[in-house]
Amino acid sequence: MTTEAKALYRSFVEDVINNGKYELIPEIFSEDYQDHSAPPGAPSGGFDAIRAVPVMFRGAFPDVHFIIEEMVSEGDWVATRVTGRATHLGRPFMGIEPTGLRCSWSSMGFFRVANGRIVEHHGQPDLGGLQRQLTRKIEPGTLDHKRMIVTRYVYATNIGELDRFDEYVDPEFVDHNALPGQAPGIEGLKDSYRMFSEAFSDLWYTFEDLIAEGDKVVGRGVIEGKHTGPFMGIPPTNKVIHWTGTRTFRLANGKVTDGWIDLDMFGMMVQMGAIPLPTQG
Amino acid sequence: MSDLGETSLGERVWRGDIESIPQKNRDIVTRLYEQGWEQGKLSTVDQFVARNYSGQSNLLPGSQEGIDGYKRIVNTWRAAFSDLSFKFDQVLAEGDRLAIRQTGQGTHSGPFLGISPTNKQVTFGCMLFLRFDGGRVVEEHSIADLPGLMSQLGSGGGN
Repeated sequence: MTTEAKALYRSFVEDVINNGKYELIPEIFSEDYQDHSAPPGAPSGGFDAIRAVPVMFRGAFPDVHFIIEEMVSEGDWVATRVTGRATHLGRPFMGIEPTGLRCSWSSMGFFRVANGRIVEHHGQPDLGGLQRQLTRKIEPGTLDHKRMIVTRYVYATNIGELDRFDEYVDPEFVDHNALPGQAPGIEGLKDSYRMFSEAFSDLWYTFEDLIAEGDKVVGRGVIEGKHTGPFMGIPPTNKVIHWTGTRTFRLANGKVTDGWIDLDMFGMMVQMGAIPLPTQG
Repeated sequence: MSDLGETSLGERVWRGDIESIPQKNRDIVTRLYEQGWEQGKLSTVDQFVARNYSGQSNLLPGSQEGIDGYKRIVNTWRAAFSDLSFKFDQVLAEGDRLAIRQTGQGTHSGPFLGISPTNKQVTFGCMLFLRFDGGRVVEEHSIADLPGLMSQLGSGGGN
């Protein structure tokens, strides 16, 4: 039983949390699972409650990764201690808009197993410690500050508040991959986002990596949007399209002055049916 | 919590009253909390905490080293909360380790994390992982529900 409890917990961490395989939840947890430590207002039972936690973490911290530090098991219970490592690149967390900061925190839990599934849980994450890291002062000019500026700029595009560009983007911004006919500077940049938003609703760019060095920040990410308007002559397909984008930013005096972007246009076109895939055989 | 009386632990183990290491470790931690944390008898800490103790708690930054490090944590809590008491909700033992889920209780009668005494009665959850070596606690990781505790003191969550 103790081996089984450990194996189930390990699968939860490595498959569900670290790799986002939410479809495995019913193989790890029972349908009548009870979370005795669910936050106020959050569901405390059922698969939806279990899914909500990794979904929330992955939404705020797209690269979230838990490391199991130790497991102590006796009878049908296992107590677990993990370290979470993650970068705050996605959605707000505990009311804090994405900071681009790398964080690390501890979390502990007690899980009971019955009939091959986890059936109940008491948890004690160090959320105070995490909150403290996300609200620490970021000195201007540091690499952390550059990552924060880029993260907030992209977050403003995600939530469609382009006026917030003024805080993060230099008025003389140079778009090294401007669209044909794009006006120069920050206004042209806003136009290009408006054009994409007209073609794709619920457009969201998620950084999966963000690396800063010198005056540059480089990010690797995935864009998701529903193709509800014409795009480069392709009529709306109403499909949710995913494509990758690698972006480089140059910063000076706390603002983004230059941008380069390399989008997987081929993948987009294939998903929209504009380019047929070669048939096999 | 159980009363082990005057007989020394070593003697009881020798006599076979306490057979398994996990049970011995449960008894040690019971005495540490009953006598050290609740009654403030820090000689219990000298008896059951290893010289090379290393502890990480979300109460104080960094790690607490040695017996003095352990006492620093005890003293910080005891100075802030009079009539501090702990209830073990669950103890799991495996090999040389214990995992404990406990509930602490006390009256906020001294400064705590920058908050002046409110004389409020508080209850808070805490989880601990302990490793033992030769009848002493040598390694510890703990997380107390500080956000929950702070909100009971009326300080709006964080710390």
